[in-house]
Amino acid sequence: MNYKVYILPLLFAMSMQSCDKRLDLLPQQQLADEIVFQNPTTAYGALIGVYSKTQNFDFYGSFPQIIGDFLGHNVNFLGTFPTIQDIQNFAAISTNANVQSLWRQHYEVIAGANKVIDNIHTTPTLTEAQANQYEGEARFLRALAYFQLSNLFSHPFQVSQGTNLAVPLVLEDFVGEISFPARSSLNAVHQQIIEDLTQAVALLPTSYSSEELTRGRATRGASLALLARIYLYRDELAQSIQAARDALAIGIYQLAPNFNFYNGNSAEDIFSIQNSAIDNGRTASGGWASYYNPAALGGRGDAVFSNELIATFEEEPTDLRYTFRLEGIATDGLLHQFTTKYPDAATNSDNAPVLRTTELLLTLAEALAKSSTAINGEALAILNEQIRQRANLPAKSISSSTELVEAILIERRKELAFEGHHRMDLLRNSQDLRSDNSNAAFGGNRTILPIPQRDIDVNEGLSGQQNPGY
Amino acid sequence: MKKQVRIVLISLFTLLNFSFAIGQQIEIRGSVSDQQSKETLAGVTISVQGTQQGTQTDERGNFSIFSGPNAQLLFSHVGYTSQLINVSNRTSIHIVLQAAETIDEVLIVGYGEQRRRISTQSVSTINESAFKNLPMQSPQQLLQGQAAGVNMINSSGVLGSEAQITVRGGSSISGGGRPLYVIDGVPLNVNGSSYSQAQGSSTNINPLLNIPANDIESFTVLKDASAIAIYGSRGSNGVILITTKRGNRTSKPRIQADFYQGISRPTALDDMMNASEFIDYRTKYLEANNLDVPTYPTTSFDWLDAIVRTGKVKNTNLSASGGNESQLFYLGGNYTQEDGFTIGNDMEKLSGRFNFEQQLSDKVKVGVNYNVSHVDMNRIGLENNTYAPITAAYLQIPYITPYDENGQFINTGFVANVLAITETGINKTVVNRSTGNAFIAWDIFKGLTAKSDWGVDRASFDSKYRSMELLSPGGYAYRNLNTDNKWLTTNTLNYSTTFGQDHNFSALLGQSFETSTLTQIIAESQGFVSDDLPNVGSGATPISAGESIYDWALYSLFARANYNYQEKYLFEASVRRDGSSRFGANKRYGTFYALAGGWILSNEKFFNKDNDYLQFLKLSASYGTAGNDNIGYYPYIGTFQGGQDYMGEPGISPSQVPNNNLGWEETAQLDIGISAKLFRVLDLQLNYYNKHTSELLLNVPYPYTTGFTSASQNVGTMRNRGFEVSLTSQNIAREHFSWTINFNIGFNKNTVLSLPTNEDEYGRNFIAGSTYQRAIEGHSRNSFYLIRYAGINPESGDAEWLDKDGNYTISPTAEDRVIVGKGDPTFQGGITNTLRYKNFDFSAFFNFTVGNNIYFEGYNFSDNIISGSYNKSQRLNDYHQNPGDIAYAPALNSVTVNSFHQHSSKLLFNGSYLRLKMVTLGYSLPQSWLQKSKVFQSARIYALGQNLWVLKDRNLEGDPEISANGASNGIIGQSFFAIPQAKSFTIGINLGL
Repeated sequence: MNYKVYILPLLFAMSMQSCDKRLDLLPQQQLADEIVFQNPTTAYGALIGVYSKTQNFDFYGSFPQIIGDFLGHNVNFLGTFPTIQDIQNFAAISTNANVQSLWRQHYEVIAGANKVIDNIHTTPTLTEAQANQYEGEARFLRALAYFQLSNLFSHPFQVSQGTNLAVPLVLEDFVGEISFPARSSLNAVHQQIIEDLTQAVALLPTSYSSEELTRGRATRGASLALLARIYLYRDELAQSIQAARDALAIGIYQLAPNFNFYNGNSAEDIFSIQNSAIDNGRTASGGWASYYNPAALGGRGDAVFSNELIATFEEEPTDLRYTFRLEGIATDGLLHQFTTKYPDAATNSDNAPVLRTTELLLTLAEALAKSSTAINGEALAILNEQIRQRANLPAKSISSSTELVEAILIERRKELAFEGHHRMDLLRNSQDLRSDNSNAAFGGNRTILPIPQRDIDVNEGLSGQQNPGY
Repeated sequence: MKKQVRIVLISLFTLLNFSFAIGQQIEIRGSVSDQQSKETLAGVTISVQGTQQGTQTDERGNFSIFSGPNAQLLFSHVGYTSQLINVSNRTSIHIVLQAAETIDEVLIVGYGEQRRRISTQSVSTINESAFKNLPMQSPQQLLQGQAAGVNMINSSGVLGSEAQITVRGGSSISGGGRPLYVIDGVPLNVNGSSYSQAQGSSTNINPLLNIPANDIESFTVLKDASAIAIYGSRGSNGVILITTKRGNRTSKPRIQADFYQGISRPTALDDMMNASEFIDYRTKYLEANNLDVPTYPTTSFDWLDAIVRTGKVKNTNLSASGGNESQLFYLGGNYTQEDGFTIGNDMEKLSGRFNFEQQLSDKVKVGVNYNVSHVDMNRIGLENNTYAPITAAYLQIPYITPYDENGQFINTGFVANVLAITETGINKTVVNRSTGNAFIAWDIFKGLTAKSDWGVDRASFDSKYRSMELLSPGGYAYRNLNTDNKWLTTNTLNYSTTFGQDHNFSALLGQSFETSTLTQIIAESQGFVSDDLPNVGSGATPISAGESIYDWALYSLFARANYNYQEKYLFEASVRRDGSSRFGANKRYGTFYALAGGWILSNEKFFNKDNDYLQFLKLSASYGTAGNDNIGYYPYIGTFQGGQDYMGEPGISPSQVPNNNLGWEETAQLDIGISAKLFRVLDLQLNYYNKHTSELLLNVPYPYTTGFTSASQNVGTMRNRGFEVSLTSQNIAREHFSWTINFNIGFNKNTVLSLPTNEDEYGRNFIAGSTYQRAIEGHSRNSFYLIRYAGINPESGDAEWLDKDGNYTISPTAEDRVIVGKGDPTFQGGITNTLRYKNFDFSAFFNFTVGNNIYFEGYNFSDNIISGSYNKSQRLNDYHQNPGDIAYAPALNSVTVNSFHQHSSKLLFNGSYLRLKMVTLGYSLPQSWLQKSKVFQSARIYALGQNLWVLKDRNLEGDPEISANGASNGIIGQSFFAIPQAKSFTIGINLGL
């Protein structure tokens, strides 16, 4: 009987042996940091991850772009989000949750790109050519992020020749040591963008193995087209013209003969972020097709033609581009006009337009027209024989260089409406966003977004650097 | 012990004999039964006051005693409240004894039991009598207002939602805030949001949904360090032990049948504009601002009325229990069917329990406790979600109708047609859960018991969602299956002995290993050819197919020792060492301990217990530590996350910052308590505590410029200090009339002592919980940080706010925010009055909370003047029109119409309330009738009302009990549009066979 006394404590003691091994559990959904750039497949995955971030709602998933359109008065935003309404009404405050999220997602793209740029050349077995291409792609995406950030959070170059504050420049891979970068000047940010794009031009191929990839991944042409745009935004016209000509000279970009090019990955497209039914930036808050379609078609019915845009089209109502609309019930329960540029509200597979040939031509025309006091014939030809003709509009007679610029800007507005350009097109031409509100006038406090209060709180470098008026 | 019993018996016998000699006596016969079970009680001591006469009830609960015709008889029994009865010439007396809830009861503590009298732990126990037959959606609700220091907030009136529970102010900021729930020794998996898709709110499916209240014997809330240290790394949010019923060794098998049925309505709803008011208001607003007035439809619809209905509940509970010297059993079955008062919200619950114990020999015992359950819910959206019935009904423009002219549903757009959703869609969650344990215990020799206990908690949450063509063109569906399966083993050695008569010693030594695997599987598709194809597989386009697996493991060693000398001086020490997979290699193991001491003054020789004022007095103190491991699965590893794809190629992106030093959050707690019995009727428990949490697990915010949002770190300290009073007063305990008051109140002051550098406008470090609420150094963890709203200027008609210096402004900025309130209450508690008169019983339970603020984000919408895209509150009709007007809203052409709705203290209300939570009236059928029936041993009918009355902030239209953020510690008292608490009436019957 007595032996039993010892069995249990013995068993007990045996079970006490270390369970250390059982506590060594590793995540199954994530990869540990250290191994990512040790392997060409995962290193490439890290680059793809950066592209994936650009699809996000707050990057090129329509949110920054719809701000450009409703502040530019192409769009009337009827959506329910008070924080977005506040932006439209020039009444946002620095704790605005949408602005905060937008800022965050841009820096996530930048951080992802920084990781690739800093580490890709250390990856074993990756060829130099591959590493260079990946670096170029990451540089292009980083430039795109800084370009969009500076447009939203900083006054345009024209307000104070770029000496005003833009956004913090973060260019190094974050490995755990927190830095507290202050805002750099717009000129400094622009210089960095130009530097990245110039390098990308050198590093990137002009095309890939398929049309989709050529239009959906960063290329030499895309880098040049973005360079043309940033130089135009800086009134550096000669450089803008040169970049535009270089891009066109590649020979794979053509003005589409009609307006059936959306989502086509045709010669019209220079760079579009490629979405699909299973991979897109739509969230419960919105998305391209979600904003721009009435509920009956599966959208939110939030973003409709503004009366100003309708009036602009009504001046020449035979404009083919005016036919790309439909009437539907919007969020306010009333009938409004919707664009049909993003028709797939059911699966949200519409691509996000970033750079396309028409815009490149309009950029070239504007830069040409602005760079001479006489009427520039090439610019006039682009206006009348390419842009207006395709839209079924008669050639416009132009009597001065200023008139030419104005005419080009009207075409630019109508052509690129709902693609996010108009706010910057107004501001960089020293025009007001609204006539009745000093906050919305050129250089007005509320024409740009507040630096998120959250980052001012966390980052001592931003202390005292809030945009005036917020 | 045997010797003592013999002495008692001999003396009783002598006394009885003696009493015969006195004469002039009458013989009184009668019986004694338990108030709750109606069962007869054996072994009740009956003594004649002022004499030494006495007897005990026999096996059937009958007694016979001789006394003077006007004598007083004292009925007393261990675990019951004594009753003093006047004989008044009667020869037949039937007595009903109430279970004592007080100092004589046995306490369930971690890995064991203790007598409350000699325990040094601070725990609150809630027994079955406090919650039996209540139509409660979840067992946690039983804790509301019942236990001092436990703050329980119902998250909403939606069925199956999780309640928020904070014990002694909680102990964490970013870390999970749920207490540890332990059912019969099995810690439950509680992963909240990991179990189902979010539907607009972070309130999750209730972890205790599958446990019917009728199977529960008691709840024990462990509060002080000496009680929780034995749960180590998981104890600091408090531990709630749930003990289920088992049989009774001395009684014959009993069958209990309980039925109830009830109806419910919402307690409070906001008043929104109807169509003509809305159009009228819009027109006036647009005209005032020289804007075009569109042509409005002439239709109208009352959405709120359409989504609210009369809720219904039906519950059937059957149980059988019994036992003998070698066996104990309890079998329970429960079926509940409930329709919430909001359309689309229904729940069906079915569960069964089997608890069994068998003595294999005089030394070896085996047992099993097992519960299987099935819950089938029709879910609805909640809070910030325009698919949520209540939110959509508030926001839907009232000229929008759910039907077209042909009576067909229409798609109303972003503010969804919730009637169509309910009617046509599928939104179901089925929860299957089985929890149980089996054990073998062996008395190795006298005093030493070894026990090996093996437990499982297997839960599966299976959700199915389908949205039809009308609402999601092409159709949309998902199926989401989440399982969380745990097993654990706990092996203990228990030793207790008494040596030298006066030294009582007991010790516990234990080891446990626990591991669990969470698996989440989702399949999602769209593109359906017909609404008649409900399943994901019929969709043409698969959107996502996901599988995620998360494991954790915990290995623990623990020990406890108790010693007391003559039951006067009490000592307890406990220690636990935990190793957890959740922490970095450098901090994997943590040790937690507690020391406690007590002194029962009333057991001292100098203390005369026979006075009328103070019969029992105990002082106790404890100090010790506990931790919190509630920070996810692998928070210390730097990672890239998959699923970041582009153009069909798989991608990864950075997802987590590495921190190998990530470790335990530790809470050290000092507790000082006094227990006393006063005036023979009053049980009083007073506790003071000081909890100091260090190495707080914080999601330290990183500048977004790093590309990361935050990282888990151990930084910061926080204090909770408080005072608790629990009181039970047996005011009257007579044969035909008894009156008991239970009262408890808990004060808590939460102060954040230090945080990582992250300064606000005043140079104080803070951690934001939400945009409006933050933990601020030197202030509460739940401080509301907002611009102060100052009202409408009667002259200008502009809305005004205060800037940070207190000056009026019409354009405040974020820098004008100040602390305007806090989400945590200063004190909360409850009071229950229970009365019994003859066969009637009555009880009224009030609970209260004072000193907390509540924030209604929904006002950001319903007070929005400028938007024509959703409905508005009736409040806005009170707008400024003429100079001198005292108005709610600004003039329609004021510049402040753009900012009136913005987040400010205008959306903040006083959250204090006093609520008549429950009132019951019951009638027990007389024993004489039941005896005739020969079937029933007991029968009681009752009516019950819940939430019938509330005293709250008079500016508040909605319900004060809100908590849209589930078990978050960092955000409490915030809601978007909450489904209010239910006001309900129930009738029921309890039958004993």
